[in-house]
Amino acid sequence: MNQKETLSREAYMKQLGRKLGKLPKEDYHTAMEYFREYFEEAGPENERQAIADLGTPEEAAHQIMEEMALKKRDIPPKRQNGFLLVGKVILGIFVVPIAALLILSGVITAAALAGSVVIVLAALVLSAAAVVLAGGICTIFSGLMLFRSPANAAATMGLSLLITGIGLLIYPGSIYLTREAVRISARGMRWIGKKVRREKRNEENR
Amino acid sequence: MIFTLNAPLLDFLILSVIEKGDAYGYQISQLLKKVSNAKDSTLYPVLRRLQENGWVQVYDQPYQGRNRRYYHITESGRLHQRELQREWKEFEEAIEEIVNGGKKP
Repeated sequence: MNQKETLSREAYMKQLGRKLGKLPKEDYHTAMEYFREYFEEAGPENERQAIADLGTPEEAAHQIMEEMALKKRDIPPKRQNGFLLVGKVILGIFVVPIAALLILSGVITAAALAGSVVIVLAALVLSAAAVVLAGGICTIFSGLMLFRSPANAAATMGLSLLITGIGLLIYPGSIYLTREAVRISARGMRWIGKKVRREKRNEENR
Repeated sequence: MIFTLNAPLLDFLILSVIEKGDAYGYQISQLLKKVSNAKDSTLYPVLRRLQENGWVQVYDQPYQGRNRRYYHITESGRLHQRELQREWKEFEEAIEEIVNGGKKP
């Protein structure tokens, strides 16, 4: 059964009114008034024809809502006050370098932070390696002393072995920390990259 | 009608109609029916847009006990209509040239 054929003016207006419910009050009333007037002008004898000519309430409402959405988004240049425009341009001229500087300082800070983390980690790894190396060398040298002064050699060797042990303990730990730091920063970079790309896509779609 | 109206053409027609004299909604839709297959409900948002752009003004006048809303062209509306008319003339001539142009042997 054709929906339009069974629609009466009343039903049409009711359906239309429902679909336009989200509109601000004034827009709603102006729209409804237009259609009410249309039916009045057509006259009761042309009610069927009027409904056919108008199209479905859904289509009508959809067009109206679309137009409302567009209206909110673009402001025709005619409407903009001349002073406002000049003011905006001047503001823009001042804002752009400040914004650029802020962004630059933010980037530099972030880079410095990242750099210092890298340095600290590198130092950790290197010092661990150095400790192991030093301890190892001491152990060897104390070993050479063993035959000349055994007590001295034994004490020194013990100490150097201790140091070597500590170094060996720290070394894998520092490597692990460095690797984790690299992984986390890589993930961070990817996340930032995704966000930037999504923002770009949103801009293009707008 | 096989050929469809686009938005600027619709604007042109509406402005041309009311340029000759104020008209009410139903009247305009009946006139446009000759060239447009579009549903008459689409006319309302277009009239709104023309108002938003400052080309058309509205006023109400009672008629036979009911209210009629008339659409009136503004000065900037007249300027815009003339602009559109120039565009349309160019378009018409270009079409003409393609359809009837070229020397016959």
